[in-house]
Amino acid sequence: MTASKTRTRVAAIVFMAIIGGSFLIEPREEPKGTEVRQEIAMIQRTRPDLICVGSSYLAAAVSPQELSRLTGLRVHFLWRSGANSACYYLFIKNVIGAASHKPRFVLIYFQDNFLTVPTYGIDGNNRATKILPFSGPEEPLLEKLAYREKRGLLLYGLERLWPAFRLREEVRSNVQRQVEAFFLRFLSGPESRTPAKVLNHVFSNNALNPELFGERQLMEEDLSIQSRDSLKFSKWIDRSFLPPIIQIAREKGIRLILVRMKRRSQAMGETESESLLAYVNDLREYLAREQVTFIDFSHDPRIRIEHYGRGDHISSERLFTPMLAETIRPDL
Amino acid sequence: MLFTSIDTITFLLGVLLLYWFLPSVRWQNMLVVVASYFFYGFVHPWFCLLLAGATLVNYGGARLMTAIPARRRLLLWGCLAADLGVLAAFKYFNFFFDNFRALLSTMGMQLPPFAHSILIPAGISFYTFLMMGYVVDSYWGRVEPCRSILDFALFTAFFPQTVCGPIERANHLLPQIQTRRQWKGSVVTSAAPLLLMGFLKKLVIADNVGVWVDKIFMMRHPPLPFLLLGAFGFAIQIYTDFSGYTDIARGTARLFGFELFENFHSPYLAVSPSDFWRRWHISLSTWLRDYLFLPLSYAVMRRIDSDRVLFLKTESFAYILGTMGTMFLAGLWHGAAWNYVAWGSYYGLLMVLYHLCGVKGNWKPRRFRAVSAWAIMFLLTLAGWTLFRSPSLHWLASVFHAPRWGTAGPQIAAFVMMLGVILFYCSPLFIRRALDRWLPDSSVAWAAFYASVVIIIAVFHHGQTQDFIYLQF
Repeated sequence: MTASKTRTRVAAIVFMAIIGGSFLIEPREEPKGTEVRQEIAMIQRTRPDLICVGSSYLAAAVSPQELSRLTGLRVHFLWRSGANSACYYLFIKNVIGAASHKPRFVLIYFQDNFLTVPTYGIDGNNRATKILPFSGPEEPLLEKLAYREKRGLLLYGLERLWPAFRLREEVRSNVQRQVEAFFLRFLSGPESRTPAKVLNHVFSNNALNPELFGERQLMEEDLSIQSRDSLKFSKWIDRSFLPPIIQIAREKGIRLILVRMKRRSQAMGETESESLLAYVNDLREYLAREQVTFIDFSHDPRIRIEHYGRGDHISSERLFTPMLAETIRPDL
Repeated sequence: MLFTSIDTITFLLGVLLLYWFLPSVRWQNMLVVVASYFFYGFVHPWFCLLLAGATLVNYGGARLMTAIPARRRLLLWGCLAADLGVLAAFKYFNFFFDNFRALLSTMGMQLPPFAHSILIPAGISFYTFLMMGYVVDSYWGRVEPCRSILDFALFTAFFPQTVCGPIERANHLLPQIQTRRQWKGSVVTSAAPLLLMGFLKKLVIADNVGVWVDKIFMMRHPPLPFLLLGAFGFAIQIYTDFSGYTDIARGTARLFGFELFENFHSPYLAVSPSDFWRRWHISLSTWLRDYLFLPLSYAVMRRIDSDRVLFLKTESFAYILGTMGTMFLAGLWHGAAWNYVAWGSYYGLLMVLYHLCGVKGNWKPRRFRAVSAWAIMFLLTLAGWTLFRSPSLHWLASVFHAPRWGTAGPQIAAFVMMLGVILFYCSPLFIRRALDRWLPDSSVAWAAFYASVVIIIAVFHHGQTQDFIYLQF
């Protein structure tokens, strides 16, 4: 055998050993469904007529006790801070749909195109704290609509076949954080500032010019929800969790009420883009066909800028709860 | 289709499998032509019509030059006018019209606004230059006009190089197209390192560094050190993005048994502007040199009878005119926007200044002078990239109009952190360079390096892969 052939073989063995070795790494994942039983037990105990599903936007804007008093219904809130449309699907499928007590109504509180962006906020901390605790042992639809859509077939396939590959997001963000922290310490010694705080300070919303944001930046900031592509209703509706949510509700005999909230930018008088207006029209028509109640507060003049707290959170529940109660009462 | 997408990889594997079982060069070429048109028209099929039209015009023009020698000049200008007309209509119409309209309005005349919304066909600048090079070479008798339309169609549409180059020359690629390619193991072993390095550069380095660059260039008013860091990051990003593409293109071409031009040669080690352009986008810079700069300079020299013009030797005057003209057009070639024009003209100006200072193309300084020359050239390169990457010249002017230094604690900390992260992502390139220098023959070291590259790509690739920067040109 020539020296060059030997070298090629040794090289091939080293190459295969390193790649093969990486297949032995098995990532540890948080257990699934840890919060499902507890939430079902809560529903069985309180036996609500109306369950409101949402995120911190809901929790900040609406008081469950007040809503209950004003509507005369037993009201229960199912929410998590930063919950996304994948969570809403899991809430409805694995908690509301699985409980033996069925509410008469489920109200979903959302903004703009939130319900048709299945890939929004499904990774990192959100996966650990919101997706997995409400997942069943197998979630084929969640995998298909959220993860396969976001990753693409190649990366999704690699994740399934190559266990170490699943660790990549965690490894990448941890390593990058360590590098940032190393240079921060190198510069200023141990101190209370974290890299994230420093970067958030320097690249605050005031420092950046939104007009210069492209699709790439929106995706990078996990703001895919604001990209122009995500406002194509016909493209996304069948790839979103909204149809299965409607189907589950119908099968369980639950009436759905969808409530679109008003955003801070709308309260500040910013005009909506043509594509968002077209999107909302399409959504309205779709929901009418599906016989789902749609209530849109996005242009309600009673909600003003002073009613907002942090970001899009309406902090004045005394204002909004009666408004909501009054608007949904005819449908109850 | 993006070279880094699953669609392309699947498509490529399918075509390759078929390709190496085909019995003759004719069949092989036919398959690659069909595959190339499929690849090129995957998203917008009408792009193929334009490419096919341009191919027919240039093929026919070059053939007619042989058939009707008396009309050679007319045919040459006809082909060039058609090529440049297509380029002007699709890529530059809006730019020229807007600027013409603005010019008229300064003279008190008003034109109604108009902008066509036709997409710029991907790679139009690349394949137009490739075909223009071919007809000029045919006219000058440097190449024999291609007889087979199939071979010529493959030359113009060969999919690894259609959208982002390298801009091939007929005398380099056509002979390869006309020769039968035989399967051998080296097809894969020679392509794999290029493909791996290409994916590493694009998916890991360019995409990750690009996140920080974007942030800086999205600031309303970045402090000047941030602007410098942004330019440094962009220098890394655009180099790894474009040379990554070239590596993938060359690797893919090797899988089909073709060898494409090398497009980069450590551009950031340049010691002068001309040296930079000998190392950066080599296929474009040599094209510009051969088909624009030299003919322009010689034409100027031929038209001037005296030895001196405006205190300059005629050669220097011709050099200055040729350089400024060429670099102005090089900037415009990159995009229909003033910052690209400014970038090209900036390099023209630098070359002229270096020339007037006695630094000619073959200048090779040593030791301290070499380090100083490199440092100055690197800073000048960063200044050039700032022009190139700025959202607009107006934005850049506003940053310099009221410069901020950013001396507050968080800004210094952010600067150092970002620099650290950028250098961290570049570290595989430094390791590769060290291996090249210290262990060039160690197969174990190289195998370990490439295996690590696979794992680095898997772990550190940026989730939101973007189009190659040069795809827009």
